Amino acid sequence: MLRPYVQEVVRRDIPVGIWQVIDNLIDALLPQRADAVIHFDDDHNMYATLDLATAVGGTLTALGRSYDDAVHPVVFFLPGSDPTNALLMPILAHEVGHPAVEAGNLGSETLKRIPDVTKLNQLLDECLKAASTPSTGQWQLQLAQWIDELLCDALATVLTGPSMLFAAANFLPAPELGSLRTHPFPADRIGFIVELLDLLGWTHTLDARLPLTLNWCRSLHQPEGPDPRERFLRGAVRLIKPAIFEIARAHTTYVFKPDDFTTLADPITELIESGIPSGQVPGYELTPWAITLAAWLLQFKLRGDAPRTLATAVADHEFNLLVHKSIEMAGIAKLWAKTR
Amino acid sequence: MSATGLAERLVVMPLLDDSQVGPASIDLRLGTEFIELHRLERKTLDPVVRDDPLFREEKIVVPLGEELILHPGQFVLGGTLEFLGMPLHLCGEVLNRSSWARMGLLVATAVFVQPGYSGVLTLELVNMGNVPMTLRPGLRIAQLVVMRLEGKTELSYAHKDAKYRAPLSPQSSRLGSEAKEWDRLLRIGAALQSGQVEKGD
Repeated sequence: MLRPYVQEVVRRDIPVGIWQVIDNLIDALLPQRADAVIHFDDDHNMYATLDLATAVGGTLTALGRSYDDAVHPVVFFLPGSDPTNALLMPILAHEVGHPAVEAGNLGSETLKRIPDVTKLNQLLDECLKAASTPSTGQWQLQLAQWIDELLCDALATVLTGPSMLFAAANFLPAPELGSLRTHPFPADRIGFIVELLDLLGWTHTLDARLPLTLNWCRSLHQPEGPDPRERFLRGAVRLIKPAIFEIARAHTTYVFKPDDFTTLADPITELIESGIPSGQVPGYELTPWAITLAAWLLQFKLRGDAPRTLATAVADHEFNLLVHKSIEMAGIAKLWAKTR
Repeated sequence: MSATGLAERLVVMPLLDDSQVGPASIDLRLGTEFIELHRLERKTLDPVVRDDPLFREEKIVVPLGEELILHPGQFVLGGTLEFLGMPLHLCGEVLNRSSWARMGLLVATAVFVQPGYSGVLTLELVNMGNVPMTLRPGLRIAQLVVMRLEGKTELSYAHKDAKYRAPLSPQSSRLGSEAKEWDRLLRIGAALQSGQVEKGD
């Protein structure tokens, strides 16, 4: 099981910009730290994370042993077809959220903070009565999975700002009517991210720069299906949302707010638009997410305020390399300044 | 600062320390990306033979804080840490730093930076010494001497035929882009051998 990852421990072909992003995500979301191993996933072409210590934990227990090091090896899966896509890195932030949710028991913490548990229980009762094959345990398990996924969406949004909305709108699959899976419906997830961005104060920035695309995101809608199980899950999420937002904001070491971006937006954009990596802006420390957001906004400026920009921007390979180079240079400048 | 302003200025990004800028030159640092050419069981490297499947390069990344060992006689392509933007009224020359030269490191055999060039500079690194040498990204590895032209050039390096537009990492040889001339030389050789033309013609 570990063989595919052993060779990747010493691989020397990963752009420094990607390492900077991964270090940033570990710092922000995994306070217990992690030893990162990067794997280009040619099998499933997906973003994912795998805590290797947890994965082999069962085997170790059976052998009467345990993984004693607090720092776990974590494999970061990047899609093999396009592993260095800078504009989609917020999706990796979502995936790093999973070990964070597990390590911090954030799912349980969320359930403890549900504003109105009585209403939730009433909803469950009503839907179970309407179901032909009710199964309280299965429904609750699926709700726990959905809460975990939304927590990861929320953590990624708090950390990366509107870039998470753009990346998710590009990357999430088209919804399938009537299919309930481990993840909430994509349209609901997009709506959830829009709502959280509004709470974080980003709506004014987005309305000013890309009102059409923002309204398109707001208009995405998954019709209500007849299945009582679906009614329960989606209704429960609506009731639990405030708790998810609260937990996410409390469990990152950094919240990306509009005030952190406003003064940086124009200088970063100007450099990238000129084809120059935005590694330094005098007097400021540039984060990967300020650079990524400026890059996304520049794409909307150049290609137009339209949903199709979400696809064409991601497909611009040279532009994405420039963004990664910017992140690399900004990280090096930050390291240099810190060790003065 | 406007986009137009950036085009008129010498850009060095990032400039980690103001002390890199001297009275007549700018110290450049070693970047994080390299191209190693592998030793092969070949009699010769012929640039005319394009897409040779046995000609192997490997791109490697060495993050800041880590090291690359250059063995005696080993040749590797590196890049500057800095992205340079040369305006149309300036040109540059990349020179070895004598401190490195005295240790046997030859840097940057292709030295001239054209007006209008933008991108990371590719450095040809050879260890001419007798012992392996440790190179670390971030070290000041070369110096750029900047010269002012008499007036702006009309033909910028950003001209469409330029081979190395805005590279973000070291670039391999692109002698292949001179394919038409190489083909011509091969045809001349073939014609001379077959007697179709005489050397004195």
